[in-house]
Amino acid sequence: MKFNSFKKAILFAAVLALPMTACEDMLDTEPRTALSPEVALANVSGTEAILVSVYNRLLAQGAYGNSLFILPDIQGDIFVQRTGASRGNAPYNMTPGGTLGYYPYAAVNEANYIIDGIGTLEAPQATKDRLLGSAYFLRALNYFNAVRSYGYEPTKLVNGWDRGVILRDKPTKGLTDADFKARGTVTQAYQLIESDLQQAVTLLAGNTNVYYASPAAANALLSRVYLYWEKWSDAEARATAAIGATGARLTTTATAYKAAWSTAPHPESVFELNVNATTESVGVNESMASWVTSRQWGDFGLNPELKALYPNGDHRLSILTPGFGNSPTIEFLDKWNAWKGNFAQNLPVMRVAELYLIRAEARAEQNKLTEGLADLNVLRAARGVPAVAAATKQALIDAILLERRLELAYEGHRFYDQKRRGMAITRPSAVGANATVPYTDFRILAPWPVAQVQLNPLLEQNPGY
Amino acid sequence: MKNRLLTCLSLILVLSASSVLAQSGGIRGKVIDASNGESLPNANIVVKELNRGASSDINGNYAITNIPAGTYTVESSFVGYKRFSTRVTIGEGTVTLNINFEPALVGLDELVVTGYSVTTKREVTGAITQVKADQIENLPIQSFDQALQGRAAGVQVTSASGQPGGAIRVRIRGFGSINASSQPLYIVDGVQLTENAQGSSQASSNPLAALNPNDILSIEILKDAAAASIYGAQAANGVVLITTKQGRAGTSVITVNSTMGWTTQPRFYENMDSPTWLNFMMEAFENHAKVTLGNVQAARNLVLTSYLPGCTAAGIGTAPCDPNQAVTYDWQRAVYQTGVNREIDASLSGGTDITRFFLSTGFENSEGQAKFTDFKRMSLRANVDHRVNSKMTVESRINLASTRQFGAVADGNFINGPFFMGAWQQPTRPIYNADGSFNELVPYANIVLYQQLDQRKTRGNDIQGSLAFNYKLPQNVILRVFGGLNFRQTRDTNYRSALIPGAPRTNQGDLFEANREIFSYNVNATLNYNKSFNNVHNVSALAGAEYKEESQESITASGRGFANPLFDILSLAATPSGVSGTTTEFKAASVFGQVKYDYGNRYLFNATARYDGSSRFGVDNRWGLFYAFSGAWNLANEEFIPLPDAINDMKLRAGYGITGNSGIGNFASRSLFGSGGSYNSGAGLRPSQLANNILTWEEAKTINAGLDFAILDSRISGSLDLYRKRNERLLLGRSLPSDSGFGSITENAGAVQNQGYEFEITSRNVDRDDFLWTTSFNITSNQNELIALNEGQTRIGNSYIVGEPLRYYWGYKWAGVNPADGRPMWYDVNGNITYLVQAADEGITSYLDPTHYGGFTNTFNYKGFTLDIFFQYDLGGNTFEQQVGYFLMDPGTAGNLLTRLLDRWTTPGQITDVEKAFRTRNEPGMSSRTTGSTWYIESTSYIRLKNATLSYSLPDNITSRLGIRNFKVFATGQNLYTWTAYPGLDPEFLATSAAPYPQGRTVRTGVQLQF
Repeated sequence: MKFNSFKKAILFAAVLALPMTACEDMLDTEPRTALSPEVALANVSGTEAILVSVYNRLLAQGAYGNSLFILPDIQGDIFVQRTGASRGNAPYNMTPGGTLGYYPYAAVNEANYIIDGIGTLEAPQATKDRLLGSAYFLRALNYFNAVRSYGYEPTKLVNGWDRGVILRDKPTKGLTDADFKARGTVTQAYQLIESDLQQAVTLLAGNTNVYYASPAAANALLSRVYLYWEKWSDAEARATAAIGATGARLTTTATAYKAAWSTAPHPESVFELNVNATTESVGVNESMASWVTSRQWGDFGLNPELKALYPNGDHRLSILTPGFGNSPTIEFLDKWNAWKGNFAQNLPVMRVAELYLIRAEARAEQNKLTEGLADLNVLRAARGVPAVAAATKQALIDAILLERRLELAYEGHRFYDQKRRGMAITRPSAVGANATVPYTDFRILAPWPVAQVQLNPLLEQNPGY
Repeated sequence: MKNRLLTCLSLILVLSASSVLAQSGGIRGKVIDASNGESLPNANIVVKELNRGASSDINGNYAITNIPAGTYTVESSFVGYKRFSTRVTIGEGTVTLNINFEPALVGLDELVVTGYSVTTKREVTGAITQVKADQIENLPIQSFDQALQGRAAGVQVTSASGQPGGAIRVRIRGFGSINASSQPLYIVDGVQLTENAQGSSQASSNPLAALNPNDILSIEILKDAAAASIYGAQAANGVVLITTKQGRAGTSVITVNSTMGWTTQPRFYENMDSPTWLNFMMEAFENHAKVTLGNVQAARNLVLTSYLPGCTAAGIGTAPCDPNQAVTYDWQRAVYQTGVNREIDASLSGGTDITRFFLSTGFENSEGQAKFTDFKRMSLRANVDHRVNSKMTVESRINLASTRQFGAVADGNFINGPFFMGAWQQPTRPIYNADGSFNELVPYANIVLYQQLDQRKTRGNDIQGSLAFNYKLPQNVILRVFGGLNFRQTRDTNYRSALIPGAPRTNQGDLFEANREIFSYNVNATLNYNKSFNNVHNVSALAGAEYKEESQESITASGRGFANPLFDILSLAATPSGVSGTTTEFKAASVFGQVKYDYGNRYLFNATARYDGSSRFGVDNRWGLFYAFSGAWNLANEEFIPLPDAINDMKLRAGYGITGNSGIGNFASRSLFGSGGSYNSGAGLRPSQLANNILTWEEAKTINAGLDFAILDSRISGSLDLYRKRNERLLLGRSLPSDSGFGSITENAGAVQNQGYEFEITSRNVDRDDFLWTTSFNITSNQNELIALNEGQTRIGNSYIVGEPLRYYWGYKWAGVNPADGRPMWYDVNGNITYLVQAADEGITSYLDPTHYGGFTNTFNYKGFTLDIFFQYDLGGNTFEQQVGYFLMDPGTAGNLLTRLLDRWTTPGQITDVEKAFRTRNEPGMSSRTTGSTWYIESTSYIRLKNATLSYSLPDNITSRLGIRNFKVFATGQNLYTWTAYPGLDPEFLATSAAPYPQGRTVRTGVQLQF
C-alpha cells in the first residue's frame, strides 16, 4: 500500500517533469512556406525555380518594371514634369543623389547560385547548358545596368576615376561568404560581362524563345556593351550576329508600328519580358503607365522640344496621345500603354531597331560611312520618314544620335547615350535656364547607398558624394 | 492512501510543515467575510500577549485552547480584508468569538494578481501597477488598453488609430528592442493572447477589443523583472494581466448599463479658402516664371485655367476667372460626421457557497467621426466557479465575441485617406455636381465618394476560454491544472464597385477578401504552497510547467468583373485576379518556480525562476533560464524603528532579475529559400535568409528599487520606483554588405537601456460625511539609450546610433529664409549656410520620445454625485511632419495649403520663417523646399482632458423603496479638450505623422441599473 502510493507520487512528479524530457520534439516546427537550401537546390526544378526568380527581379519597379526604362529619360531630355506633379523630382532636377543607381546584387547572387551548382546538378547536358547560359546572360545584363549607372565607361573616365562595381561571381551560402569587397575597375566589370555573354552565346545555342535568354539576346546585349566600350568592330560584328539570329523584324507601317506596342511579343523584340498582368504588375501607382501616361498620375509628359523633332508622317507619332484624366495638360508616347490590363504590358528590353542604330554608329566610327548611313536609313524607311544624307562622319554620328533619341524615347537610353559619348546631358528648357549638366559634373554617376559605404570600409564612394 | 500520496508529494517538494500544538479550552469561533457571510479558511488568529494562535479550517472554524484567564488582544489578518483586532476576557470555559472581516481593498491591502497566484500589495516585492474596474467602467472606449493611458505609471499608451476599436500601442518602461516586439504579454484570466495578431488590412483592428471593458475586474501590469520573470522569455516588455469579474455568494445581482453617445472631430487643419489659395498659387507660379525666364502673366493665368473650374483661357479677366469670386468647398469637414454610439450590456452575478457565476452580454455600435466608419461588438461571457467538494474547485471562463468594423479609406496612409485628402483637395473643386451626384472630375480622387463607395469591412470572431481545476492537497498545497485557448478569426472584405471611377470602373469592380485564423493554447500545472510557522515565518512556494502552441494562417483572394455594383461576392467575379496565403507557427515549453518568504510581515524575500524553450531560436540555443530575486522591508511593522504616528505604512522594495524577449519571426533563425515571384508561368524560388543556429532571445536585466507609503491615516498613499532596464543580446540584423545578396543576418548583439522613475500618489483631500475629494497623480520619466550594436559597429545607417536614443529625427538643419530674396537656407555639415544640401549635411536634429508622461485625476463625491476629471499628459516629444506637413505646405503638389504659409516672404528685407511661394518644389540649383529639415519638426507635448464623468446614484432609501439595488445616471466625455501647440489633428501618434485616423471627441450619457 505504502509502496503503491509512493509510486503514484513519483508518477505524478514525472508528469510534471514531462516537458523537460520531451522538450526537443515539442519545439519542432516547419516553415511550410519556405525551404531549406538543401531541399531547394537538390534538383533541376529547384534550379529552374531560382532562374525564374532572376527573371522575376527584372520585372520589378527598380528594374524594367519602371526605373530602367524611364528614370534615365527623366534625367535626360525626353520628359517634362507635369505641372503639379512631384514624383520623380530628384532625377528630374538631377538633385545630388537623385541619379538612378541600379543595384543588381540580389539577382547576381541567384545567378551565382546556378553557376556554382551546375557542376553537381544531375540533368541532361542541354538543360544544364541552358540554365548556365541563362545565368551568365542575366548576370551580364544586371552587371551592365549597374556599371553604367555607378561608373564611367572605360574610355571616358573623368579625372582617372575608374571604379566600377563590386564584382561577385560566387553565391553567398553562409555568413563567411558575405565578406567586404572593394569595387573593381570598370574595365574589370566590362571584361566579366563580355566573358559571361560570350559563354552565353555558345551555351544557349538553339534557344530562340524571345521571352528567355537566347544567342540573339546575348549577342544584342554584347553589341550594346561594345558600343559603350567603344569597341566598334566588335559592336558591329555582334549587332550583325544578333540581327541574323533574331526572328524580329522592323515594322513598316504606322498601323503595324502602333499595334506592335500592344502585341506579345513585340515584333521587333530581340529580348522581351513576358508579364502576367494579374500577378506581375508593379501596380497602379508605380507602373510606367501610371508615371508616363495619363492612365493614373501622369507625372511626366513628352518633352515638347522632342516632339517637334519628329518629321511629319513619322510612324512613331502614331502613338502620340493627348493627356486625359488627372493629367490633361501632357502629351505622351504610348509605349507603356498597359494593354495587358492592371497597369501592365510586356517589356521589350532590346528591339531590333536598336541593333540597326548600334551597327550604324559602330560602322560610322570605323569610317564605314556608307554602310552606317544605310543602317540608319533602313530604320528611317521603316518609320516612314525620308532618308538622311550625312556628308561627314560627325554629321552621320549626330544623325544617329538624334535617331536614337527619337526611336528609343521612353526606353531609358538617352542619358546613357550622352554619358557614354562624353557629352553634356541636355535637359528640357522647362527644367530651367542653364539646366544642362556638364559631363564632368559628379551627378552623372549615381552614389552608392550611403549605408553600404558606412558599413564596408573597402567601398569607395563616387567623387562628389 | 490518498493522504500518504500527498505526504510523499510534500516530501518531493521538500516542504515539511510543523504546526501549533493543540491544547484544551480557550476561544473558538468562525471567520467570515462580513460582506457576504462566506467562511474564510486559512486565516491566522493570534492571541497577541501569548504569541500563540491558530488557523481557521476549511469551514472557517478555529479554536485556541488552554489559555490562562485574563484579558487579551486577539488579532487576525486576511488577505484583502481589514485587520481584525479586539479585546477578549478569558475566564472559565470557552469564549465564542466570531471574526467578521470587512473587505478592505485600500492601500497596501489591495489584492494583486501576480501571475499564477494572488497576493496583497503589502506582500509585493516587485513593481506592479493596478487599474481597477471602477476606473474603466462605462468609459467610451472599445478596448481596455485605452483605459491604461495616463492611469498607470511607467506605461505609455498611444493610439495607433482613432478608428473605433482601432489599434493601441502599449510600451512599458520604454522601447527596449529594435527588431523584436516591444508589446507586452497580455494574459486574460490565464489565457495568453497572441503577441502578434495579424491585423486587418481594411480597418485598424485590435484583438483586445474582443473583450468588453465592463467585464473586467482588474488589470495588473507587471513592470520589473521581479514581478514578471515568472513569465520568462516572454516577459521583457512587461506583462499585462487581466482578471474578469466573478460573482459573490449571496443574492443575485443584475446590472444593466445603457449608454448613448456622439463622436465628433475635435481639430481641423487650418487650410486656405479658394480665393486665398488661388492668389497664393498665382504668386508661386509668378515667382517660378521669373526664375525660369517664363511669361509671368501666362503663368498666373495657368493657375486659373488649371485650378478654377469654369475658367478657360478665353475667359481670363471675366467673372468665372476672378479668383476673388471663387467658391470654397470645404472638403475637410465633408469627410467627418457626428458618429452615434450606442452600447448596452447586462450582467447577472451571484451564487452560493458551492457555485458562483458571472454572466454577461454586451452590444456596442459606435460610429466614428469619419463617415462610414464604425465598430460593432456582440459579446457573451460566462464565468463559473464551482466547489466540487471540500478539496476540489473548478473554474471556467468563456468569452465569445464577434466584432464588425467599417474602416476608413487607407487608414494611416497619407495620400488616399480622408484625414489627409480632405484637407488637401483643391478647395475650388465642388464635391457634388449640380444634380447631387459626385463630382468625379477632381484631381487625385473624390474622397467623399470613396468614403461612401469603397467598402472596407473587417469581421472578427473571437473565442477565449479556459478551464482550471484546483485541488487542495494536505499541508496547504494546492494543485492547479489550467488549460486555455484563444481562437481568433478575422475576415476582410474590400469592395470597390464599378461606381468608383478609375481602375474599379475599368475593371467592373474589384473585390478583395482575406481570411486569417489564429489559434493558440496554453496549458499549465502548478503547485501552490502557503504556510505560516509560529505566526512569523510565512512561506509560500509555487512550482509549475507550461506548454504553448500558436499557429496562424491566412488566405487572400481577389476578383474583378461584376455584372452589377450590388454584387459583392467573390464567386460572382468574372475574373479571379489573385490568390495568396501564409502559414506559420511556434511552440514554447517551460518549467518555473517561485519561493516567497516573509518574517513577521517585516522582511520579505522572493525568488523566481523559469526555464523556457522556444521553437523560434537556433537549434543550438533553444533553452534559457530566467530568474529574479527581490526583497522588501515593511518599516511600519518594525518595532525597533519608532516611525512617527503619521506614517501608517512604509515599505522599501528592491529587485533584480532577467527576463526574455522572444518576439521575433517564427523562423528567424533558419536558412531559407522562399517564394521568388514568378516569370512566364513559372514559380520562382530565392534565398531569403541566412541561418544563425545560435540565435536566441533578447535578455532584459532589470534593477528596480521602490518605496510604498501611506501617511496621515492613510489619507495620502503612493509609491516611487526607480528602475534601470538593460536589454542585451538584442535580436539585431547585422548588416551584411548587400552586394552579397543579403541585407542582413539576425544575431544577438548590442544593448538598449531604459532608466527612469515612476511616481504615483493618491490623496483624500477632503473626507467628510457626505463629501469626499480624492486626487491621484502619476508621472513617469524614461531615458532611452542605445548602448551597443553589433560588434565593431556604432551605427546602423542613420537609423540607430550608439549613445543616442532609439528614436530621433535624422535630417537637415533649417537656417531660415534669406531676407534678401526669400530663398530657404539650410546649414551644411560645417555649420555654414547652404542652398544645396547633401547627405553629409544631415544629422540628428531632434529627439522624438516624450521626456515625461502621466495622468492626473480628481474625484469628487457628494451624496449621490460623483465627478471624475482625468487629465493625461505627454511632454517633451517631437514629431516630423513628413507627409502631412510637407504636402500641405508645398504649392508644388497643387493641393490646398495651410494658412501659416501666408507668412511667406514677399519683399526684400522681410524677416520671416516661410520662404517665398514657388511653383515647383525647388528652384534650379537649390535643394527642394520640402527637404526634410527641422522646419518640419513639431512638438507633440500635450495635456489632454482625457475624460470627465459625472454620475448620480439614487440614495439607498429611495432605491430600497423602489426595490432596486442601485440606480445611476451618468454623462462622460472622452478627449474633451487638448492643450497643445501641435498643428496637426492629433499629437498622440507615436510615429512620424502620416495622417492616421485621429481620435474623436466622444460624449456619452447613460444609466446603470442594479437589482
